[in-house]
Amino acid sequence: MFSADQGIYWFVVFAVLALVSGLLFLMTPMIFAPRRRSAIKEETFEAGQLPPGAKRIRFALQYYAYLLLFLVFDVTIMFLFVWAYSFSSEGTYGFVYPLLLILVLIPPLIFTAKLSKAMDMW
Amino acid sequence: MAETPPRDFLRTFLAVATVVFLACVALLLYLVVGPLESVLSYLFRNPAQLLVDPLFKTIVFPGLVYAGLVAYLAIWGERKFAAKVQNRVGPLYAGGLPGGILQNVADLLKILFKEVIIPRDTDKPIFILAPLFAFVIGALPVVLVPYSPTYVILDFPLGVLLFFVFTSFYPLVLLLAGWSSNNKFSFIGSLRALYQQASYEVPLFLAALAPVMLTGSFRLIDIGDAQGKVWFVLVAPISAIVFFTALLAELEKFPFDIPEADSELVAGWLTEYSGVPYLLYQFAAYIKMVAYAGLFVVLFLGGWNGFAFLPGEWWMVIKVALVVLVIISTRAFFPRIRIDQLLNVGWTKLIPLALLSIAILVGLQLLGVLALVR
Repeated sequence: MFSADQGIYWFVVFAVLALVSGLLFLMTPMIFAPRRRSAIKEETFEAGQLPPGAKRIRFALQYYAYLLLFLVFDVTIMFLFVWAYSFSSEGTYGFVYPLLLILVLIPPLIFTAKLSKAMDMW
Repeated sequence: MAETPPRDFLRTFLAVATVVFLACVALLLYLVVGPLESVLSYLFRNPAQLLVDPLFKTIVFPGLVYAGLVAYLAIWGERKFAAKVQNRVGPLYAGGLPGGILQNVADLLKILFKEVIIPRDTDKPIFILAPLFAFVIGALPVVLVPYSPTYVILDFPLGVLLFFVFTSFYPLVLLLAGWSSNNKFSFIGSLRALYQQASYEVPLFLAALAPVMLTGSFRLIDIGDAQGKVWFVLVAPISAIVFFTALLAELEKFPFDIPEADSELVAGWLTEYSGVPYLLYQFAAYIKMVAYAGLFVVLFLGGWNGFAFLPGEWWMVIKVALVVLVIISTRAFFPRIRIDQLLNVGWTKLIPLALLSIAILVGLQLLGVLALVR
């Protein structure tokens, strides 16, 4: 069944070709382009003004709850993938399992709907 | 206070890059010269075999040259199409007859010889290498998309999953780029990209489940072949719509191009990039678009199945071109939405819709309708 050996060989060739062409692109301006350094040119861009204070800011992760949900869903979906693989060959019993899984996913979905309404008030 | 002399990073990088480059060339020679001999001897015996040789496939047809060409035409088409819709002219002079089709070549040549500005406070090795990673990772999914049962580079039994593995690495590169830039715009843009791509992976996976359920296989060639009778867009239309929407978000295309919102964030996580690194990011984005369009066609639009007067690969190319045209036309037709609206739509509309589509498929299977489709 698994006869992808030949393909994986060419996959490696493809990846190396992509890497080499990318490197060639990166190296071209380093050889040919002029490089005139100046203090103001190498300053961090902030829409025209000199950047005040630290450049690495503290950023509010106000949507972190969505990322938590991502963890919930990403793991659960893997089980759905396993089930989908044998979808057409299973009997009626096989359909109980995904329905249970989808039922498990409904509470986090309702939680998200509420959360997103709460987020509108931010 | 004695000023420390600036570390000449470029020179060091150039030396390292040369070593890496030579190593890559050596590896390439080692990998290619062996098959090259057999290909050449094969070629003189039977020239017709050349077009289905793996080397030809890797480099020319579903491989790098083809993907680069479609990406090139997509960039030109996007500029021209958006210009036409907005009653502008767009690229006009370069290349003569079909409206400035060589404009991108001119731009490419110009950018190749431009100075690369690397700001002082960046994390320099990562700042320079991130575009390279993005280019390689963006090009990798092209390997998996079959253009017909013969024209595929890597025929992997779990192709759908491997495609998502490759594309899942992309947000990581964005975060590297945004963080190493040491710039507020870049950082916020990369965080938004992370939110967006992480959120829309879930509906994308769920929508891609429908063709997998209908064929019982993760192999993309099996999925394409199974659509000889009916295209899956007709069997699972909700999944197809969800997949296309999530695809636009994954590609940061227009209604969802929040990470690069130029009116708020300059250029998002690309703010500090200029010259060739910027070019590599754009290449990566457009080659990724070609790969995603190919995946969409194989999963839902019948793949290489078409009318008999053209071979299957041609149908695939035509369909991919049409899907790419639809994707780039969004730039002209849609406004940009807000990040909270985007997340809200993704989690509270697309995911329930994708789950509903799966439930509908289960119902159809129980009623025995799906047996007619196969």
